[in-house]
Amino acid sequence: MNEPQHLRRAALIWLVLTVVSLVAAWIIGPQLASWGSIPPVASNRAEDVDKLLGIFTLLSIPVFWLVVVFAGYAAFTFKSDGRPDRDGPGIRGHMPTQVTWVIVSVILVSFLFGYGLYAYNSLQSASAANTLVVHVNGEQWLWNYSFPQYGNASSTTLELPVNRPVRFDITSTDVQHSFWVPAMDVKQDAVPGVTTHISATPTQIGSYEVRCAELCGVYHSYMETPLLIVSESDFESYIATLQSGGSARIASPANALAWMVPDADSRASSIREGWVA
Amino acid sequence: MRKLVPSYFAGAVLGAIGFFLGSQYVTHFIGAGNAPDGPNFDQQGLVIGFIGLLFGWLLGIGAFKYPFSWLLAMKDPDHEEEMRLAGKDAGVMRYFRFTTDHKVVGIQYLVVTMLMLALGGLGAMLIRTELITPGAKAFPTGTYNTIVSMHGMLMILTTISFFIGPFGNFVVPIMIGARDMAFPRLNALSFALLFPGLVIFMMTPIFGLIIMNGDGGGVQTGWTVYGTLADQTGIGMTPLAAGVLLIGASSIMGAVNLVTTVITMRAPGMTWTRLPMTVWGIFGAALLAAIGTGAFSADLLLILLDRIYKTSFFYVATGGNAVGAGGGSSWLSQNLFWFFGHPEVYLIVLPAFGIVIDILVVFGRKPLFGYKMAVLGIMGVVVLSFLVWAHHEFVSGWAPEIRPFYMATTEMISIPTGLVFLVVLGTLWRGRLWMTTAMLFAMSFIWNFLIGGLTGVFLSDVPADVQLHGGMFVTAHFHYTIVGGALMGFFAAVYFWFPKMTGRMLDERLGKIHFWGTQIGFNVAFLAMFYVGLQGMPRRVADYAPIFAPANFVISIFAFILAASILVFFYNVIASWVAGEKAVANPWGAKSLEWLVPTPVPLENFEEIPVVASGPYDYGEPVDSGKPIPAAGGGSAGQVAG
Amino acid sequence: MATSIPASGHAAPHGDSVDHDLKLRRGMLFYVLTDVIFVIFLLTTYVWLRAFHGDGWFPQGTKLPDQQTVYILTGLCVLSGIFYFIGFMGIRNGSQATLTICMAVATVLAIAALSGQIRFMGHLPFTTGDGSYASTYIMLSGYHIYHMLLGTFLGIGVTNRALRGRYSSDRTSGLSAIGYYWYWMALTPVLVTLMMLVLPPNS
Repeated sequence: MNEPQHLRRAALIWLVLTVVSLVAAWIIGPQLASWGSIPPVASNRAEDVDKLLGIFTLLSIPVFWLVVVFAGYAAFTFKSDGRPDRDGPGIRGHMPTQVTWVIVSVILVSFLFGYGLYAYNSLQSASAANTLVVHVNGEQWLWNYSFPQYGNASSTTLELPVNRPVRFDITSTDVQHSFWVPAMDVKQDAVPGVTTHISATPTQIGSYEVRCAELCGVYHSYMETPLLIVSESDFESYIATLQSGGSARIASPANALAWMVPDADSRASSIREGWVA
Repeated sequence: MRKLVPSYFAGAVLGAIGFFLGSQYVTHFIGAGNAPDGPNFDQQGLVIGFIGLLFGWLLGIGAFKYPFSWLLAMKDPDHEEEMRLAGKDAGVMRYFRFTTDHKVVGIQYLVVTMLMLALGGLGAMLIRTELITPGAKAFPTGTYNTIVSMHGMLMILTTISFFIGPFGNFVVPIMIGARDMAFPRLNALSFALLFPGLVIFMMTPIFGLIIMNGDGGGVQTGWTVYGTLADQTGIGMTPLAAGVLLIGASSIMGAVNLVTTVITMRAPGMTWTRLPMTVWGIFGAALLAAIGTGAFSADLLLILLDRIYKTSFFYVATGGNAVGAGGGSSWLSQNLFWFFGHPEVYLIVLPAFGIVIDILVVFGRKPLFGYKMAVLGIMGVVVLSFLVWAHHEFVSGWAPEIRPFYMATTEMISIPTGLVFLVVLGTLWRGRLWMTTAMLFAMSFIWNFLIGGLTGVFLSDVPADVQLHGGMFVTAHFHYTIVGGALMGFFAAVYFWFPKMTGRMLDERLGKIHFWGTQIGFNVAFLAMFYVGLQGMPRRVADYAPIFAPANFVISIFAFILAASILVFFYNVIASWVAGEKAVANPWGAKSLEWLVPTPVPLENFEEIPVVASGPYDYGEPVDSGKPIPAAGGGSAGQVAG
Repeated sequence: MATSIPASGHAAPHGDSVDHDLKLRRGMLFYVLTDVIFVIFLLTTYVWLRAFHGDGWFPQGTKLPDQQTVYILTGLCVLSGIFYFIGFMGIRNGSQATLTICMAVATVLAIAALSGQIRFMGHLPFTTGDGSYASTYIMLSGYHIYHMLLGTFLGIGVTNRALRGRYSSDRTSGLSAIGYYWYWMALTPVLVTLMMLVLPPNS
């Protein structure tokens, strides 16, 4: 078989695999959240970012199959049994291919950058008038929250009203932590001595968790506290409880190891139910 | 007895004495309150002990002989003496001495880096044992964090040195037609620093977990050693930082030596455009090591000062945590670390680019497809890799206004990397592929590094990174680049050059078992890790929510398969080294210089320095330049470039 | 480390085409480059911490080190570098005496600066725990002392070898390479002094 036939055949395989994968990704993608394969989607950020991840996946499929199909085709077709008795053709390059390759990769990268920049800027949008400000203070190994708009009412568990923009002002008292709400696609380091910011709007009522995403010492694994996204009226009553001193401080694992139970099931229940103050 | 002094044995004895004297007595005299009775180590005592260990070791191996004879202006060593120092007539003892021959140093590096690989792999297995089910059952969390930190740091040190060390030393000088490295003594010294550095590094669990109060004494920081936590963490941090500083010094020396060797020692006719890609890859890596390591060394030095002398580089006076006056910055630590940390991953993988391309050429029996493009790809990565480090800080809060710049540079780096992929594909296409184990590993590099590279594009994007950062997706991504890229390249290189380095062939049948075990174990384990990453599992946790349990179970099982196949590799290396089939000078029919010298390679490599008249890639049946290839040869494959 | 670089290569055994002096100079150039980069990161630390200007940078009541002494010590280092250069140019023009005298003077100046610096460090008006200015000052000066220790070793060696006539106008192998290190060693305290004292830290 001569060169153009090999090329045509490999290109056909590439085309088929690409189309099949694209269709599969198109069908599977929207189902992932309901299967628990990605975190629940509970904020405007999470919606945007899931779309972005989807587009990146679709774009990378043809590139992936291009390399895999051509290398794989070569491996199966041009294989020799044992030591080859003669050499392949002495081709030292092919200018048109090389130039095309560079142009295509420049175009792809420009698109990725342009789209990423657009998505980045749209997430940085100006804050609305009714933005809720939450002060977050990381501490080994829990999160402290306070609400400056509500007389600095403070708590170690967080509840947020649905559909109201939130701005988190984040800092730390000891070492670097990272404030992560997987369901809201919020992640921002808590750096001692400085305050960092991130904004999002919760869109789904439900029970989620806040994690630390930066290794922060012995009990980093357990720096996970609950987050409730609630209706506006439930939020008002939560604040009222806090203002009347109703919220007990969660014991940090450092001084109360009671909730550090080895068994996975009771650990999960301690985090998600019994542990909420 | 005379044979043992100087040697590594004498060095070990004097090093131990030096450590003991330094840590127990010297500290006492300079008034740090370290009582000389009984084992009582504080951090300053440990560091002084390490200095004592280093000097004892260097004294014992005889590294001071030349500097002092230079200082006293004694007779310059003649050729005869140089040859004795290079291990002439020393037999096996030359591997246990301060020996200047680059081939001896290469073998020493090969053995030690494989030892490091085994230790780091042991760490990985302990991690996977802990994570096989939810619940921190196997280790206390502090011990687990220590294992994670040591696995990360040790594997990084291994992968930094396992190309530049064994192959940079053994192969590169012969490839460029030189008799030795530019500075043979510096070369021997750089290995002689790696070894005590490793010993000091391995004191981390001894002091952190055994001698000093159990759980809190270990290293809690991970390999990123962010300043605020590194200042606060247990005593294990001190040997870790000191050991890594020393290994950093060793790698800077090795890098300076290699760069100088490639620039000044090339044989007549070995022009820059005739260098094999292996040399280009290792040269690029050495440039990165020479420039990047300084940032990390500075970071570690500041950490040690913060810990021992309570300086305020990273301390921030907040709340009850203040030890010094404060005024430090956590972002400073991050930036110093990542300015090294990112070029560092390219430093690991660039030699693999070069070596994989060379192996594909040899076993594909075709010239390199686009030599200049390959060089451009490697050097492009070298330049760009210094402009991307802040993509590790997309969620740190530092300088949000320059994030788009780093997003752009990070995505740009896929252009030179893409060039390397085109070179690889073009070289394979229509070759006559000889599927040896080395070739299989080189081809697995394509698949694995492709996945590593494509997932890297996801992480380069700021909004996507906000979700994925600090999670298992990142862990899977960089394991795909470092294990799937560099480690597969290393295995390919070992199977390829083992006959030249040891005079024995590796067993191909065991090699195939090793190959398939590695590919299946690695790919399933880390594809599953991408999955838990997308699910939202954070990195470096000893315990996790039940939703992540099924995938983690799969990861652990396949990680054990991966480890078992690497045990096969170690067995293969040891058994073949002892009793393998004897190798001929050029078992693969390759055309670069190292295959044209006899096996075992004689002391000064070449009878006469060769005069190089053509490039290393003269494979293939001739094609008419500039004209379309006739149909029998395969259609219009195009012109001959370069 | 510079000390293990052979200062004069042996005669090429088989008529190799390798230029040993070039090799030494290139190697030392790269070594000094890595050292420069290391110092750049130490200075980055200074710029970074200073830019933050937190209370911990220069706490109330911190005293500056004695400026006059620092200027004198820096001057000694610079002079030492100048003498090294004069000596090197001397042997290039064939004058053994210039080389020997200048190398001796350069070494003595370096030793004087080194011992002065160590004494000075023992009497600083602050300790490592007094904020990040103090930390940075001590760290940078400490690194300078390490430089000077290595330099003193090289200086004594070069002087000794010059005394024994090991260099001539066509055998300067090693001298220029060590020169690179020496000039860099003389330049570091100038940078440190400029940044730590000439620019007032409490402004």
